[in-house]
Amino acid sequence: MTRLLLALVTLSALLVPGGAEACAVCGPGTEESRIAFIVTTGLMTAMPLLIFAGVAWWLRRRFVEMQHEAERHQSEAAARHSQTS
Amino acid sequence: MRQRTLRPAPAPASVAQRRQQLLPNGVLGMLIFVITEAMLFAGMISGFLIVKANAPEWPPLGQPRLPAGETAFNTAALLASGASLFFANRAYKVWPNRARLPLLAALALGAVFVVFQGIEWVALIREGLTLTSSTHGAFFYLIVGTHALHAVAALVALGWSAWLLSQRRLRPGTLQAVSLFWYFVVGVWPILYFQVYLA
Repeated sequence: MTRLLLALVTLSALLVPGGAEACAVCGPGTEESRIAFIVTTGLMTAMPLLIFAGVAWWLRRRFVEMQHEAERHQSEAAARHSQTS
Repeated sequence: MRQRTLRPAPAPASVAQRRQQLLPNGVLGMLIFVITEAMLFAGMISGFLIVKANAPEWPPLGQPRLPAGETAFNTAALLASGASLFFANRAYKVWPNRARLPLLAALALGAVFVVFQGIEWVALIREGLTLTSSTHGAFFYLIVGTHALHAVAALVALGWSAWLLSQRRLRPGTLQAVSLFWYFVVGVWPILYFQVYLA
C-alpha cells in the first residue's frame, strides 16, 4: 500500500512539473528562461557522466594498445632467442 | 667442510617494473584537476545563461558592448598556441631538442593572448564595465577572469617546461601533464568566447 502510494505521488509529480514551480530561477516564467534552465540542468547532469565515460574509454583503449605492444615485444624477443639458440 | 658463500637472492621485480604504467602520475593528477575545472566552468556558464535569459535586455542598458572583433584576434592567437604545443609534443617524441621552438612559440602566443586580454580589460573598466556595475560585468570578470587565471598558471607551467627542456631535464610525463592543462585552457576558451562575447 505504501509502495503504491509512493509510486502514485512520484508519477503525479512527474506528470505535473509545471504546477510545482519548484525552480528558484523560473520565477519570471519566460519561455527563454525555462529553456535555459532545462538546458543547463541537462548540461550539468550529463557532463560529468560523459567526461568519466570518455576517460574510461580512453584508458581502456590505451590499455589494449599497451597490451598489443607488449605482446609484439615478447614475440620479437622469442624470435630473436630462437635464432641465437 | 666446504664453506658455502651466501649470495643474496635476486630482488623480485617491483610492481612498477612488472606492470607498465598506464599513464604517468602527473598526467593522471592533471586529468582529475582538469575534470574538476571543467565542471567549475560549466557551473559558471550555466549561471550566466540563466541570468542572461531572465534579463529583459542583454547587455543591460548603459553598459559597454564587449569587443568581440578584437577578442577574435586573441582567440586566434590562443588556438595557434594550442596547435604549436601539439607540434611540440610530436617533435618531442621524435627528437626532444626539436620541441624547443614550437614550445617557445606556444608560450609566446599564450602570452600574447593574456597581454591583449589585459589591455581589453583596462579599456572596458575605463568605459564603465566593472564587477559591481551590473550582472553583465560581474559575470564577465568572473568567467573571463577565472579563465585568465588558468591561462597565467598554465603559462608559468609552460615556461617551466621550456626551461626544463633547455636543461635537458624535461620528462615526457611532465610535458604531457602541462600540455593537458594548456589544451584545457585553449579548448574551453572558444566556448566562453561564444557564450560571453557572441551569443
